[in-house]
Amino acid sequence: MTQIGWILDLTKCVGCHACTVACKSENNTAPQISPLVMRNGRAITVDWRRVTEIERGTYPKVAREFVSMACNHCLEPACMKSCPVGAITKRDKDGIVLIDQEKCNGCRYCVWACPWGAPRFSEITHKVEKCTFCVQRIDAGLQPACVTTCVGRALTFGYDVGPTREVPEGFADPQLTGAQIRFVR
Amino acid sequence: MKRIEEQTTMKSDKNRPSPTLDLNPSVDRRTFLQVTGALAATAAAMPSLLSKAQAAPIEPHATPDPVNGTVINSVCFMCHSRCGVKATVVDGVLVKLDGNPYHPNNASPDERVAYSVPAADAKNVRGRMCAKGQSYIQTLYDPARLKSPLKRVGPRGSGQWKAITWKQALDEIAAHLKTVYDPKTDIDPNFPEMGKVSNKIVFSPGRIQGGNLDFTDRIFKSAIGTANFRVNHTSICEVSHHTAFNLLTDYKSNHFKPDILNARYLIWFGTSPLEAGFSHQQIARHVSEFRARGGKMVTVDPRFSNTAARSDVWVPVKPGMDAAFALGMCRWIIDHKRYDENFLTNTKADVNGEKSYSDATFLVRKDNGKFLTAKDASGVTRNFVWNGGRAWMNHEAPGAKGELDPGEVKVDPGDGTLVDCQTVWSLFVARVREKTVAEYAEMAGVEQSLIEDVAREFSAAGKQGVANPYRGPVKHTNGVYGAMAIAALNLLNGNYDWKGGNSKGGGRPHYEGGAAPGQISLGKVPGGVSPAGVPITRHSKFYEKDAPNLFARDGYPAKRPWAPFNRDWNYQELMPSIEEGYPYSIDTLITYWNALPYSTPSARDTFERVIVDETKVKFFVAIDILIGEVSKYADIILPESSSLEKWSFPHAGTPAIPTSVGNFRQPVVGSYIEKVISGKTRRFYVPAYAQGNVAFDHWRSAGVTSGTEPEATGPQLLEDILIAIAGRMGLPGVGPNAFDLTGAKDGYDWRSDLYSAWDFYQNGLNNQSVETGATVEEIIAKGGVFAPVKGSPSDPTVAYSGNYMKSQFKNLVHLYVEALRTTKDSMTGQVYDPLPKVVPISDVLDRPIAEDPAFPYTMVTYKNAYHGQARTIQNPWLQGIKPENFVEINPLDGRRLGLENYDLVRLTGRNGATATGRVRFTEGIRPGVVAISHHYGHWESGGNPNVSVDGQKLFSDPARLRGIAPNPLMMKDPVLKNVCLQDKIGGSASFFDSSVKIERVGA
Repeated sequence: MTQIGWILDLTKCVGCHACTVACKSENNTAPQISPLVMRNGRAITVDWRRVTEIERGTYPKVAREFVSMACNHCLEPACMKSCPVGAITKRDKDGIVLIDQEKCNGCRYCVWACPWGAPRFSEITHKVEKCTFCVQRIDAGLQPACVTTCVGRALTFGYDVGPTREVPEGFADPQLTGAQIRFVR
Repeated sequence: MKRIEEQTTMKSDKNRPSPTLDLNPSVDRRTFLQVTGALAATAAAMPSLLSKAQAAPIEPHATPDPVNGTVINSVCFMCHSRCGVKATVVDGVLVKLDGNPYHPNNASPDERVAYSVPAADAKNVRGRMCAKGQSYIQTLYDPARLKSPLKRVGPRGSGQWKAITWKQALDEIAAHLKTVYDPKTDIDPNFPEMGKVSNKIVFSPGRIQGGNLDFTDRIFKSAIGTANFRVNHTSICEVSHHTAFNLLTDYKSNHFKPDILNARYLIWFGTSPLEAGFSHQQIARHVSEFRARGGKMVTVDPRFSNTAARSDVWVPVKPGMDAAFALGMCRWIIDHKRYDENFLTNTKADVNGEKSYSDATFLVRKDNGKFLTAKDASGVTRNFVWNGGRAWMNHEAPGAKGELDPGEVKVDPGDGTLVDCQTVWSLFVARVREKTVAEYAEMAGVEQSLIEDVAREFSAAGKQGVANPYRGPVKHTNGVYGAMAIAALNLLNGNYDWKGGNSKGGGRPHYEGGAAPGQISLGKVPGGVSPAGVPITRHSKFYEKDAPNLFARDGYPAKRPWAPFNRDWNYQELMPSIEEGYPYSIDTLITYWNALPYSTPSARDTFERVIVDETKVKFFVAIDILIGEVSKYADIILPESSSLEKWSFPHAGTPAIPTSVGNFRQPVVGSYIEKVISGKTRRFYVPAYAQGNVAFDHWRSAGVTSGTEPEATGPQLLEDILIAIAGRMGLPGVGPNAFDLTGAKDGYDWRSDLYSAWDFYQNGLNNQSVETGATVEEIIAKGGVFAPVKGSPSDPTVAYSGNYMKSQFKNLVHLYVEALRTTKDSMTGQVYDPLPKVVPISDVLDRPIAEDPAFPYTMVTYKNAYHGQARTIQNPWLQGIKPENFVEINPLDGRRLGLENYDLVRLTGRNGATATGRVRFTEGIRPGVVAISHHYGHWESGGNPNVSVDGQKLFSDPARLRGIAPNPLMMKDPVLKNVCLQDKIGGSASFFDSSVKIERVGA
């Protein structure tokens, strides 16, 4: 088996969130249409990919880093182990981890188990969704939507990208589950 | 061409069944469209708003499909970057937007699809696209979009409407315009400069692009003949930047950008291309490549922008003091002789290894500050320079060289007199040396070593060191001087036209004609008129010269400022001038895509006071896609199609693209009525949510065509609306013989008549084709024509000629602006300073604005990468990224104010306006400065819950009202009182000179 994975060049990510929206547009995640549903000041959104901004330092010596994150399609997915109904599977041919929406019972164990926060509970379907690596496009020989749109050409993907050596601040130890992302700095 | 390979894979896989999504969540496009359908069904319950049949173009589609569907390449309009868009449409439903892979904004040279590749082969190749553009689909299908013409019930702004037919709306508008339209009679014979009565009809498109603006000019400028034919927004955008570069280049180029891919050192002054600017996504990508190559970058901005975050040096300059930083750099570069002497001593273009040249060696008369000039033997006016102990005309100087500082010299310009002169360089150096680097640093609020370090590295980069200003340094009362100081840095490096230097860009083909034999003029109106008199915003007009009778009446100061150097419109002056009836009162206001009170500093109160006064604005029509902050007050609102249902030729992006860009925007959804009139098939566009076409209805009722098609309902094209109005008024420029086809190249489908928008755009496409050699069919298929039409986009000879840009300015760039030295300011009667300088923030009488300790925080605004200005908040995907903006301050200030992070605070401006928002602490801001992004805090735009049509509430989304809008808090000019502070030279509204008070309201 070859294992699919992300490559994120942290020096090239410009923090524009184009990948966030490309993912939503490709996969039709919430919110899809006005009005935006708000609860306790928070928007009800289901984002399979998100960009985190990390700010450090003290004025005027300040630094800010952008990290685009989705599911890392781990070698040993914690989510899969945590799922009580067997809804989460890992494909043999490329290691893409998927949640079967028919089987998911919305218990959210996977949300807690994942060190990366990849599974997202949908307050609309009351099930858990996550990045599928745009499996429909991969199977058609195409690239994921986040990669085709990446404004800074920071996000690409590959096979057997290997365990990452460099991780951004706050990123859990990739060895925990064999996260398939390589950071470039 | 990795992406082309993707397509090859697809082709060989043709018989493969469509990919299934059974392991995907069930929330898919189907559900999205069912939701849309449900809302459409709700709307259908409203009489005459939207019937089921009208919704046909966006009926739900059952099979979301990532790879099949029809692809239409067009141009985005979620911001002004004019990037390409690739729309995937399945059964008439827009399902996905990506970047156009042929477009240089959407793909870098090494990945862009060659123009020669057929569109069918690039069908599955995606260009890149920012978050705003991708979410445009949600604007198209926004449930708040208007579906019928509306007439107000009750007073202006009451929010109570009734739906009326297009026929009634257009009949009433045409009937009123006929009572005002008069391009022959003076408004006042004692003041001929006020022009003709038609000037009382004002067309104000907040935002309008190429093609659309040529069309509206046809109607308002050449048919109606009003001098107020296009009062657009540029003065609240970047206009002082444009004015400065116009002055510095004798109006030959208003914009340069670095050739980022080959530069070595970049300084961004008050602009953050990683978040905004056009094209954000293209420049941001090139900046990433620039940095990967080891390029060094500096960002000068009081806010730690994303661009600053990616820079090697952040300069948290004091707002409005960019010129101090730039002149401090100039001082260091001059003192250390690090300027490019070869470039500066050249006296003409294309000599001594340089393409462009400067006026550094030109002699200036001591008596009147003008250049010393004389006519040469062939009657061309020449400048004098000094070389080898005598003066020469600049084109004849030995070696095309002049001396930078020969001291004071006496020169006979040819009339036997001796005139005392000195060079521009010596004047510039004297100006720069009025302050030490330490003093400049003090004014800029930064360490002296920072100026020195940046100056050293910038000058060391030479031709490949570029300083680029945009809104930050120029949206101040001293804006032009800020831009001039930064422009001087580029002259010291002599970087114009060099590969990796300052570039004028690749330009665009001329859809409007006039550039190549065989083109026709898209603008010329047989039987049309030319507007007379001054526009109400008084731009491009000299007070004494162009308004001699008003000058004789009022003298100095003028009643309101004139902006002779600004070639755009003084948008912020529109409503205040209407209020004061200066220079004349108006009758009718027609707006299009206009958000003036939301977008313009300190304009909300003035706008809302004037617009409800029916003695000031007797008739008000708004053309809009939803009820916005402006259209709320209209007498009649006409619903317009979105820009995904529109034709245009948006001008090329910025000079950041070194190759020619010929955009063609076209509808991606909708249908057509086709009729043969005068031997040609006329295409009448029926947008989404619409049936029928208003232009077709007009010609049918006029007996020109016939058919049983239903009367128009729903949103319609701007052009077709105007055709229906102009047709009713019997104006020239529409109908038969609307174009002069003299000289038109054979073999094209030229249209002499104008029955629908398509006739106009067919002619424009023909013009693009004639000039570029691409066929009309190719331009349509690829969403425009992008150089090179043949060959590879990655071939360096497409953009470069050896060490130079291929597209060159090859002309004069000034350090010294003579026109400033010789023009009197309309408010003070004093001439301006011709050289860059540090000028305090001032009122319209040039009196410095005193700081008010009660308002201690200077407010600056900016754009997030995932929002535009006034037109993105309706997209839920963008709302979801950050549902509201924040009042961003340094934690030092937060503690001083006793605030906790995310406390609710009230901001009060010096104009008395207040707004509340949540505070967010960030180390990334200069203490004493508060930053607020500009796209949140709307009060209309589909957010107001109290809007009713025929007694039924319209759709509203309260999330659109979230956050805080900074512009209404900005300062008013203390003299004029009903307008914001302004840059009188540049014409800009000031955005970054206002201060606020911050008070805690709650947790």
